[in-house]
Amino acid sequence: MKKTVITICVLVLFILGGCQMGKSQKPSEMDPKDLPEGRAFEDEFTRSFIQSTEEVSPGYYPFLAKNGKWKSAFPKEGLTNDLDYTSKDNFESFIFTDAKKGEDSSATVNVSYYSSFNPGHIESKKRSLRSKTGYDLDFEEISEDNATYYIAHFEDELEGKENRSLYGYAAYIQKEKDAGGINVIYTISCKNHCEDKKEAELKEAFDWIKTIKFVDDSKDDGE
Amino acid sequence: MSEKVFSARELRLRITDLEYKDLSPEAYKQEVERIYFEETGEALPAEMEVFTTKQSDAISQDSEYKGTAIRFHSEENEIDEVYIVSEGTQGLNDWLYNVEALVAGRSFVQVEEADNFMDEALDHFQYEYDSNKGSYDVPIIGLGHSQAHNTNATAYLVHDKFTNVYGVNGAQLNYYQLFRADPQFEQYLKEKYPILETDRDKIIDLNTDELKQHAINFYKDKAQNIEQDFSKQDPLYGVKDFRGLFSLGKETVHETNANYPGISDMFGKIDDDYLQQLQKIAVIYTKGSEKGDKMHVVDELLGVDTKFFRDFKLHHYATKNFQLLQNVRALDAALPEALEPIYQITDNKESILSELQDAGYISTEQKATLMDSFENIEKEIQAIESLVNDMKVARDQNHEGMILTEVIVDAHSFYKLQGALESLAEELEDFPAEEFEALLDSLGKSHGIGELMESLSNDKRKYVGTELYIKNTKGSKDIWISLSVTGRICGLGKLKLLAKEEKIEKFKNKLESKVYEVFEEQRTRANTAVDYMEANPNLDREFLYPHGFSPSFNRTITRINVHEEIPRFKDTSLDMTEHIHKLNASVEKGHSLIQQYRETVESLFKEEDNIAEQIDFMEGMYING
Repeated sequence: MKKTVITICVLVLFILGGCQMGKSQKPSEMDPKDLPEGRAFEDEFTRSFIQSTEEVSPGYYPFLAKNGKWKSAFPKEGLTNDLDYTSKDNFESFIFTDAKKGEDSSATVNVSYYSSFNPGHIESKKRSLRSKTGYDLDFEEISEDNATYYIAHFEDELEGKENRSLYGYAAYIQKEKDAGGINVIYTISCKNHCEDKKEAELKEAFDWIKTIKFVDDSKDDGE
Repeated sequence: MSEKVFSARELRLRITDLEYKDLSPEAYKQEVERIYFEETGEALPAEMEVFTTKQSDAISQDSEYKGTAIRFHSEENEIDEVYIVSEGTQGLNDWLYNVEALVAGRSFVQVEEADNFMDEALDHFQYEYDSNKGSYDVPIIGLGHSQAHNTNATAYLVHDKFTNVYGVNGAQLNYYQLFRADPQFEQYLKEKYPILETDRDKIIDLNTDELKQHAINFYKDKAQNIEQDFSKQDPLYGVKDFRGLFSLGKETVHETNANYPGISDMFGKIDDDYLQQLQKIAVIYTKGSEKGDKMHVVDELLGVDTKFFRDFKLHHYATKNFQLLQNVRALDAALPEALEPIYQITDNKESILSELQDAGYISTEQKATLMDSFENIEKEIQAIESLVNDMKVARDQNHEGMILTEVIVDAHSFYKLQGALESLAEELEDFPAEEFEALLDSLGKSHGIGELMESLSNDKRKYVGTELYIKNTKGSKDIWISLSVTGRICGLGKLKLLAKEEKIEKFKNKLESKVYEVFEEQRTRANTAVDYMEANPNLDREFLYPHGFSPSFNRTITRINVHEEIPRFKDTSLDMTEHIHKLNASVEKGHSLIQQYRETVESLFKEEDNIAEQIDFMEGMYING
């Protein structure tokens, strides 16, 4: 009798557990066979930050930072690794590459989050990005969703490297209400036919930067 | 070297150390003046302004970076310079975290916070940033101890705003960190290793000597502006050639503790990976112990929250079987990685403990105690690993659920697992950390600035910690005097005596106005009443009524003679004159003792040493606050 009870209980629990597992849509909890294609899903570490297999825009999936303080879209060919992701409550350094197979260009995206950066002092933030990148950056200012984006384009013809060029955006995003700032350096490295695709790639980069949003601690905003 | 105010090493070291004292801006300025005067025998040659991260509006108060900016300006002496003194890490726990972060080269939060603070401070001092030159039109000198050197030097390499950077017992630069923090270096490495363009994690497989050389080449122009002092016995010096780290600039190594050889030779013999594991365990142990609960140490060590296992009761087999399955799997998955560093240590316990013993850090007995402890920990961990594995296998083989006998076997394993977790916690709690205390204490001291300063002593000047003492010889005796302590004794002594004088004066005034005057008034009133009675004796007839002389009797009082005389206050036993005199005498005596002490100190030196002037200055600082 006891054996039957235990067996039934165990079976019921297994079934319940199975149901719970089926309900979740988080890629990290799904069978790898059911995931979309792309490096972002193939790599276990990268996929642990992707929130869903539903696209937010073509080729991009929702991403939530490890410390929960910011979110963005993430490209399906994006790839990060444990060494390139440092996460603390007050700081994150997150770097990923976005490279499509067979294409001549790849992007490296360097995002760093600082909980201590108060609103204001924007000149200093711009100056930091200038001194860091070595480019004379001219920032465009956009205010949106309780954050201000300062985005500047840069371009670098690599000396002695014919047909090769670097271009992209450096950006600083300031949380408007309280402390919190994000630096972004989005660098596209192009090896061939750069002029043909530069415009489209830059637009993609610009749009991506604007998908970065602060997650408001005061309300449930983790969607 | 461009700086004019803190041009001597001793000055820079003492100012760097001052950052740990957490002083108010006023007290900070006073200390800078005192230190400058003590070291140079002169007053500061320029006006001083101070701006600290506590005043910062650019970075919030919970920023990791802490520091002070000092501006010196004098038209007359042609001085115009700014120092950024960054606060490092002092305690041993900090040091462990430090090494963890630095060796892995992961965080650069302080570098960016420091850059923002620097901008704000320069703006506060009203300097303009020249965007064409990419710098400020004023020398900016960075001072930093421990982690602060990594912060300053990295900020210099990334943002190029410092003119010079001085470090003491500093954490070194890290090319893994710079690969993430400096886009220009990142690009340089990508040119050298195109694989990094798409597979950045491959950096860990690249030849470390080559990477180090690339970093040194890339930043070679800045090396001439970086200078460092090291204690040979400082553990950070011991790990300065760890994988990832590289040094830039001029280095001076000081022998600061002759009792120990320093750990760099010892570390040189041990594999990098092994040292990293050792350090990882030390951090885990510290983190766990800090939480105060012995089970936390176990959880940190195993990398899993074992609360579920500890709280699990037999009847939970029916209600929490699925959670048990999940937890067993999680623990089984986490164990190999978590246990690797522990096994590395336990497998090599003999060699590491022998090295420590040979270097004189631990005794033979201590080594034996530590060996026992490591063996017991190893035994418990092996037991946990094997029990968890049994439970996992049992579940993997029984997808449809277990039959009762299997449940019983499993429950028995589970019961043993609970026991092993508890034993491990106890073993870790009993870990003879105190056996390491002397070692840790010695390493901690060698990391500090005080021990290094003490090594800078010569036969004329010596440091006790960061306090300066100067020598004089009287007869055959050497006498060491701290001018600062002398100044403090004289200055604070005088302040105390002045306060005492003031109190005595107040007391005297109160005595005059409240006691003497009131007493005199009452005495006059009483004497007047007596005179009146004597002049009009019959008016007081009523006093006789209670004694049988009723008003109907016709009797007259013809004379009243009062024999009592009320003395003056001065003539009573309550007189305070003598006491006040004694109090005044004690103040006089105090002054004369201070004077005697001063004269004794002064007499120890020659006139040309200007000792009197120096003590006056120090004294003045305490008196004028």
